[in-house]
Formats: sequence, structure tokens, C-alpha cells
Amino acid sequence: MSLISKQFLEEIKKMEGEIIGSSLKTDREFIVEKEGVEGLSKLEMEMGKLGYPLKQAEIDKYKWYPVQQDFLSLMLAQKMFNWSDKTVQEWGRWGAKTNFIIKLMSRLVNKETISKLASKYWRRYYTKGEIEYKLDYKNKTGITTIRDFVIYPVHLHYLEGYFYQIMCLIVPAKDLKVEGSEVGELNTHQFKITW
Amino acid sequence: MKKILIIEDEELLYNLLSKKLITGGYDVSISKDGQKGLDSMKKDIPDLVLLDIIMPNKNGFEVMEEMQKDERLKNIPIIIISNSGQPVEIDKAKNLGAKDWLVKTDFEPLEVIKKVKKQIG
Amino acid sequence: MDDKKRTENLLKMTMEDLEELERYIEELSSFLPLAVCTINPSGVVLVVNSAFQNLTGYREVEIIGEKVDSLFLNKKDFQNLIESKTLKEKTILTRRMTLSKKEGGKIPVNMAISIRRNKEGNFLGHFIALSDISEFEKLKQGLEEKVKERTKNLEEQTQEITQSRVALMNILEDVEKAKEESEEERDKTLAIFENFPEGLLFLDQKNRISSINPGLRNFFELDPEKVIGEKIAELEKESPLNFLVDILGTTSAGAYKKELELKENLILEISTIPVMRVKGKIGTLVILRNITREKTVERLKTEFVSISAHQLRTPLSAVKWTLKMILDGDLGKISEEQHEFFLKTYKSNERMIRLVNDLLNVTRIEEGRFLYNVKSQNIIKIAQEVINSCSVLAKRKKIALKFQEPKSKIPKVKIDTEKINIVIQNLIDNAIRYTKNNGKINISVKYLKDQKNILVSVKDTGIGIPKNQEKRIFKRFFRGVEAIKMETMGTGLGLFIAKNIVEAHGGKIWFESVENKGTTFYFTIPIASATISK
Repeated sequence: MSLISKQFLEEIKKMEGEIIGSSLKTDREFIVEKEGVEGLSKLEMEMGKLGYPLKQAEIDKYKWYPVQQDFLSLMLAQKMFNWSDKTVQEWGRWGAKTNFIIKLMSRLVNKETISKLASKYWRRYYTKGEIEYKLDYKNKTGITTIRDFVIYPVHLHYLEGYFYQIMCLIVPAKDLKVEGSEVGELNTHQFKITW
Repeated sequence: MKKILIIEDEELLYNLLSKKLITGGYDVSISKDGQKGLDSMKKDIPDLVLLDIIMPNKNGFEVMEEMQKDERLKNIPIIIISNSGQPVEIDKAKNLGAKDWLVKTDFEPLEVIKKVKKQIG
Repeated sequence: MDDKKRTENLLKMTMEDLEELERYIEELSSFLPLAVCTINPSGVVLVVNSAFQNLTGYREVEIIGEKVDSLFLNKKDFQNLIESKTLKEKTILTRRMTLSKKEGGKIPVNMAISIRRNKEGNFLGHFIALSDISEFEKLKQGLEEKVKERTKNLEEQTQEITQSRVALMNILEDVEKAKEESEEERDKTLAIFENFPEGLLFLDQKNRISSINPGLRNFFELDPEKVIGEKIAELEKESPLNFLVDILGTTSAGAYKKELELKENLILEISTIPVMRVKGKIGTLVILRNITREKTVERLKTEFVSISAHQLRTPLSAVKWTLKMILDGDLGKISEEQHEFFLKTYKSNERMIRLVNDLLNVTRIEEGRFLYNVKSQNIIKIAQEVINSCSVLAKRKKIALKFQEPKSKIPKVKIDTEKINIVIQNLIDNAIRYTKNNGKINISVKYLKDQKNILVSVKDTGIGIPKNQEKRIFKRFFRGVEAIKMETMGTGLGLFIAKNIVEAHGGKIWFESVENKGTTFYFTIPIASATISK
């Protein structure tokens, strides 16, 4: 029995966009972290079954891969390993820590630059989608809006973690909260940030 | 009779002494000083000399010394009768031939005679 | 080639370069043994190298995104440092910090921190390098402790040394003092030695001449250099100190005295005294006294006494002889009454004679320090002579005079014959005088072997000596009350003289008496007399 329904799979297959190899690599490293090498092997096997085989060692950090690799592995992992939303958030934070891109970006991120850099660096990850980053330092709130991008619930949680980690760079983590939600327009999501 | 020569400068004493000696049966001659005594004994050798020490013209020691030098005189027995009597002198006298030393205040004439008797009989 | 392909190639090349660069950075970062991290302006850790992860114990994923100050024990300190002006001015600032490792351990680290700026000069955050100085600090502490210990030891030692030094100083002071005192003593001694009016000579244990004093050179022509250090036995024949040879044999015995006539006007008395210390004899002190004057004085005294004796006695003997001859009837018959008077006069004269005798004896005994002519004598003979001479007197009073000779032969004693004669004479005289007619007098001579003494006793059956007069018996001019009553011719000098004579011989004189029963007088003469010859 497959974890992903055929219908859903067909839908995902139709999606357009690429993801940079380094992000994939980092994400899979998390799986190894949590489920060990055997866990990753299992995932890779499932991905292969779904038509998207890809071994960790083969991933080229600088190459672009179909975005399905990202989406599917997110979903599969949660389902296969029974990860909680919290774990997925953790996954997102992981993603914001160690990969090559984030290393480039984090050096430049500060209160002033973050808004400008957001979309620049979004593009480093994905070839599709637009991001808008707004922060009100006085009131300690912020909104991140992502348009034109398909985000499934699991991905939402992932991104909550991701943005959380980014925010850590510039604000105290003590009361930091990031909450993602769908908003009216199609393929548009917002993340409410408070600290 | 034995001859006694008294060599003594004090008249009283030699008188008393000679009296006693004569009574005792001795022949007595008297010389009043040392030199006279020596001359006398040279002329006539006595059997015993009663010799005083302190006298003019040769004292008793000098007399004895002279007697010692003379062969004829050196063996004559001498009894010193003197009023001094220090051991130095007594020794000296004995070394010069004195047989006895009598201190006049300690020996009365009779005792003197006894001593004489003892010496020569 | 079309644009797309060209762009793709360019991109590929760029990517390859980038990859190479990244790999290089990765390699470098991994290699770097120094723990380095990059923090953003908010203090959040962005990048860490492997050394950093090893040092802190945190993995990359654990530390990235956390605030770097969470690693330090003293967060405030870190904050102050980050904000400090000095940091902004300098390129690198170093500070010792304490790092909290992941598993809880705290280690000292040396933190180097520098500001990062972009090419526009904008503040980008900091580089932080940490090096583990725990080993260094341990070593440093170890060294410090060692130094402390060493310092403590040194201090203790110094203290000990100081104390020892103080003690030593005290000892030195004491020694100095003792030295000063001994020098003072020595100076004193030396002064005495040098200034002694008589001649002094010191011989060492080997009878070498150790020192001579100036006084000695009054007697002899001496060259100290020739003499000091010389053994007496090896002195030159012509040396004036040759006389010392004679005394060589005597130096080991007790004190020794001898007269030496150098010239007519120089008579010396040589005394030798062994000088003893705890460890034994260390030498001999030879004293040479110029006794020329003394001898002259003595000779003059002798002459004086002789002449005085003669002068005093001449009239006395004249009176004595005359009166005796009168009393004996040699000068004619005399009446009873005359006889009585003449007898009284005679007795009075006799007393005078006795007094003169005693006075002359006393003078001599008092001023003559030594006994004259000490010879080994048989005391029995002397006693016998005295007894014989007293027999007439005793017979007159019908007193039986008995001599008890010792059974066995007794050793001779070194005595001044004339003087002992006087003693015995005196005792027997007293016995006769103070015993009534028909009394008994026993004289005995005994040899006390264990005491090495000759004991002479004169025992009478006379009037005795009353208890209250016992103490004064030997005193000058003392006469017992009863004795005076007996009207005898005592002068009171007899026993005084006898005591002096006996004691000069080293003996003792004493008596036992019961009133009206009798008295016994005893005296002892030691066999080995300690008297000094003249």
C-alpha cells in the first residue's frame, strides 16, 4: 500500500519548479540524523518506487532538481517515520542552519537587510514562488508572505521552523513564535511572526 | 789531774766556774779573750776547753776554726758556754768540733762540771 | 554556439569554481586546529569549524543559530567585550573566558575576537577564535603551586635560616663575650705576669720554657728568643737558667722550694708550682724571689737575737751562778735566813731567765717561717734526752718520771730536733711543775701506723686544767689560776711555743684533763712531714 495516493501523485507530478541540490542534501541529512542511514535508505527506496529515485551521495549541491523531490520526500518522511509537526518544524530549522546557501545568507542578514535578502535567497532555493518579508521591530511582529507556491501542510510546518531559525539571527529567541497559515488567495501562505 | 782551759771574758763567771772546777778536782787555766786562749793552749795543751762565744780578740768560732787548723789542737774536746744558743750557731760549733753547747742561764756551774766530767772524766 | 548554451557553460564553470572554493574553504575550516566561529551582529552563531565543534562539544546543527554568549560562563563579560570601544579600535582583542562545554565541563579558553566589516565598512559581526588553555592554565597553576610551595619552603627555610642565624648571632655574641672575658682575664693574667715584681717562668707539660716575665731578667741576662721554647734539659751550658735542670725531677711532685745563691748579693728562692686544670697538669710555674734582703734581715735578726740573748742573759747568768754558788755554800757559809732570801732571789732570777728564753724562742718561731734543720730522727732518743735532763728536777719533787717506749721499732721522723726538744721539754716541765710532790709522770711514744703518725704523750697526776680555762691553754702568756697559785715560774709562753712548733711540723697538739686528778698532753708528728726545708 502506498503512502501517497496515485491521484495525489499525479497532481504533484504536474507541479513546476526546481529545488537546489544542496537543500535536498541538507534535508536528507536530517533524516539520517533522526532515523539513521537505514531510514534514509527506506525513503530513497520509496521515492524510487514513486518514480523519483535519488541517492544522497549522488546529489550535486549545485544542481537543480525537480521540486517533486522536495515535496514528496517531505510528505513521505512524515508519513513513514510518523513525525510530529514539531519534528517537521525542527526539520525546517535544521534546513536553516547548515547548508551552503544559508551559510552565505546568514552572514548578511540583519535587521535592515533581511527583507531585501529574503526574495534573493528564496530564489537560491526554488525557481518558483515569491516571498515578501515585513517586520515591525517596535511592536515585535512580522509577516512573511509566500505567493505562487504550493505549500502542503507538511511543508508549512517545515517553513515555520525555517523562518524561526532565520529570525533567530536577528531577534531574541525567548518569545519567538512563527505560525504559518493559508490565506485566501490561491497558493498564497502567510507566516505570522511574533517575538 | 785533768787540765781545763776556760776562755771567757766575764770575770765573775770565770771566777765562779774555776772555783767549781777546782773543787771538782780539775786543773784550771783562764784566758780572757780568744787570742789569749789560743796562745795558751798552744803552749800547754788542755784536756778540755770551756769556750765562750762572744769575746773580744777572736770570738769562739774563730778560736775553733784556728784549732781545727792545728793538728795538735783539733782534737781537743770543746764545750761551749755561751749566752746565745741559736741552732745555726750550735750546728756551726758542732761542725767545728764542739762537743756540747751550754747556755749559761740554763746551766749552773755544777751542771757544767758534770758535763765536763762526762767528756773527760 | 547559442547564448543559452554559452550561459549554461559559464554557469557551469562558475559553479565548478564555486564548488572548488567551497571545498577549499571546507578543507581549510576542517584543518584549522583553532576553534573559530562567525557570529552576526546579534551575536548569533552563523558558522563554526570542526575545531570549534570539538572544543565546545556542540555539533554544527546544535550551535548554529544559538547566541554565542550561551557558551561563556560570564555572559555579561562577553557582552561588555563585544560592545567595548577597544574592540572597535583594535583589530583583535584577546580575553580569557570560561567556556561551558556541552556536557557541562568548564574550561578556560583564550578568546580572540575581531570585528568583521564588508567592503563598504559596514559592521557584519565578529570572528571569534577560541583556544583551550586549560592545559596551559593547569600547567600555570601547577607551576604557581610549585612556586608557592617552593616559596613557602624557601620562606620556611629562610625563617629557619634566619632563626639559625639569630641563634648563631647569639652564640657568636656569647662567644664574643666569652672571648672578651677570657681576653680580659688573659690580659689581666698577662699584666700580672708581666708586672709581677718577682721572676716568673712558665714551663709547659714537656718542660719547655713557655714564657718568662721581665722580672726574671732582673736576675739573669737573658735573650728571650734563645730561651723560649727550649727544653730545660737542652739549655746551653752557659745559660743562666741551667739551675732549672735541678728542679726538673721535682716538677711532678707537689710544690717545691729551694734556695739558690747566684752571687753574694743575690740569693733567690725558687718555688715550683704545678699548674693544674681539669684535664690535668698543663705546666709548671716557677717563681724566683729575691730573698737577699730577707736573708740579710734574717741574718741580722739572728745576730740581733744572738746579741740580745747574750746581752740579756749575761747579767742573768752572772746572778744565777753567783746565787747558786752562795746557796750551795761554795762561797762561804750562810745563815738560814740568808739562805731563804738568796733562794727567793735565785728563783726570781730563774723566772727571768725563763722569760728571756721564751721570748727569744717566740721571736724566732714567729719570724722564722720554716723549721730549721729538719732531719730524719729517732724521736725516742730525743725524748729520752729530755727526760734525762729533767730527772733532777723531778727527783727533787719526788715525782716518778717514767718513759714508756714502744714495743716495736718505730720509723724515724723528719723533725727539727732542737724544736721538738723544746716541745717535749716544755710538756715535761709543765707536768713536773703542776704535779704535787710524790706524783707520777708517764711519757710514752707510740707509732700510729694507719694514721702515719708518731704519738707522744705526757701524762701527769697533777692539778689538772679547769674546764673554763681549757680554751686558753695554748694562748700566749696564759697561765692557769691554780698554776699561778702554785708560785711556779711559768711564763705562759711554753705551750704557745710548743703548739707553733708541733703545727709547723704538720702535727697536732691537744690535752685531756680532770681537775685534781691529772692532765695528759698529746702531740703527733706525721711520718712524712709536709714541711719545707730551708
